[in-house]
Amino acid sequence: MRLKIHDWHEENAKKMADYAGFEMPIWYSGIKDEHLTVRNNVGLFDVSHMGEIIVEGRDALEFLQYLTTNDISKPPPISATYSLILNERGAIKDECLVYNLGDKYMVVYDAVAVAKIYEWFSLFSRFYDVNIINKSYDMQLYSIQGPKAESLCKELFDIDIKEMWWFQAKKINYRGVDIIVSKSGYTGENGFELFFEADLKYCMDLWKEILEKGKKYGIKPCGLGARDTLRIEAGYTLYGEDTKEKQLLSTDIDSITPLEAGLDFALSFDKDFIGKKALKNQKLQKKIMHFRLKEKGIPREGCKIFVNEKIIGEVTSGTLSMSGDGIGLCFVDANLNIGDKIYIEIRGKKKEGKIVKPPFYDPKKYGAFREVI
Amino acid sequence: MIVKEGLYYTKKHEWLKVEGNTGIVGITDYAQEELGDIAYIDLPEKGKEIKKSEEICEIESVKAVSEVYSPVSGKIIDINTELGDKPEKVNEAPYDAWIVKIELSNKEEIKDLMDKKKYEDYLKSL
Repeated sequence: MRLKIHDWHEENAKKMADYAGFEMPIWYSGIKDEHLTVRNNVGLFDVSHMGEIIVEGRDALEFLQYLTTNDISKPPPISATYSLILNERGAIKDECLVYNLGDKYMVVYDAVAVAKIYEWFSLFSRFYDVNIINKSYDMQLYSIQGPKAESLCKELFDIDIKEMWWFQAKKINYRGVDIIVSKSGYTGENGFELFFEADLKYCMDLWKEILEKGKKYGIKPCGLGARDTLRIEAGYTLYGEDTKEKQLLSTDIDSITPLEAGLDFALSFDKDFIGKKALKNQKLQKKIMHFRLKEKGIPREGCKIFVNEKIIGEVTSGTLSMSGDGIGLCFVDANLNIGDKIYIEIRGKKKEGKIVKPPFYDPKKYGAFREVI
Repeated sequence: MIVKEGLYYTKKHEWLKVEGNTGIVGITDYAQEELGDIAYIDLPEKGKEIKKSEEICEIESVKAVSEVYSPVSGKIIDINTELGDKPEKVNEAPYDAWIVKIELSNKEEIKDLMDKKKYEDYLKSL
């Protein structure tokens, strides 16, 4: 499949590759350059491959309360709640954002799970008075991220995201098309995201307009490569890499659960939801943690992790930080603590590292909560 | 895409410069662009004997790991240690950032490699 403005990406990206069945731009100027652009200025991502499902009807809230883990009844329109979709054995089917749009809900989730989640929702929808609409292939999603995103948003839409809370959104009509402007992102930086449905010309014009108006802020188009290194550096999990369902059908508990993933904050045990019972019975043996290498090397998914010559887990995603250290997320013995020494086997050589607390950048200097801009 | 005159090329995108009995090896502009930001080069040991098409070392970019294969047989007599700290030199100037120098044990092997024109045609066919 192709993104709507595929031809522009094809012409401008230095590397394109398949991701979740889409021909995606991986980098334009280079992963490192784009990564630093987002940390220092502002970057523009076309992430229209992401999935969106509209849930409407009388039981829409009740339906989503049961199918996702967080309490989505509280956030007012228009705003989103980070939530999780679990299977009945407690494992993560996907991570998602549930937008309360007032008269309906929009679930935004990962491209790799587009078909799976739509089927899952459809399966349960027959027990509720709800209508499920898969918008994944029509909805555009442009993500603008970085410390200069705020100024750019003001200039483009006259919206001050400083006045908005994280995950708050506004619906505007821009040149004849309804756009949801959401204060959200996946890079650790401040930023906003645009959800809209439009024809090719509109999509292309808006993309070029953002690049044009962003010029004075040093904007650059950014690909999936930098999106991945940025989210790892921020310490965020990615479904399919760090969080997943392994479909361990013969056990009571599947892997990886929100407790194992350290995503407890997205669980609301005051209500009923699919997977709740399994979580209540889980004895935690392994957990997603974050590590930083002391020696040179790039940790990759699947690299084994050792403590005292014993394998205690493996890397789930890894990359290099801005400062050039090997960093990443790992699924390891739940008894490990921040500061513990570990060894990661990279191509046959054991490299020393330690368990750390995310993010991997200095939050005083980078990220949405930086002290100086 | 730069392809330099006077060098020999492999299908795996290594270049070889011959100076007397010494072969200098690096990766091509095409290879560095395909790899993207090079973050780490696992440099080999000096003195190691290597056969043609054997792996010299691994190059890691932020996104991928790729092997560098030897265009010729011989003994590794020098390694570019500068690349240990500054692997990005390969992105910046792939034909200056050599990786190893090999004492050629069989000069006949050079005949199997491509010249500029042949390598350019090969790139077009990809």
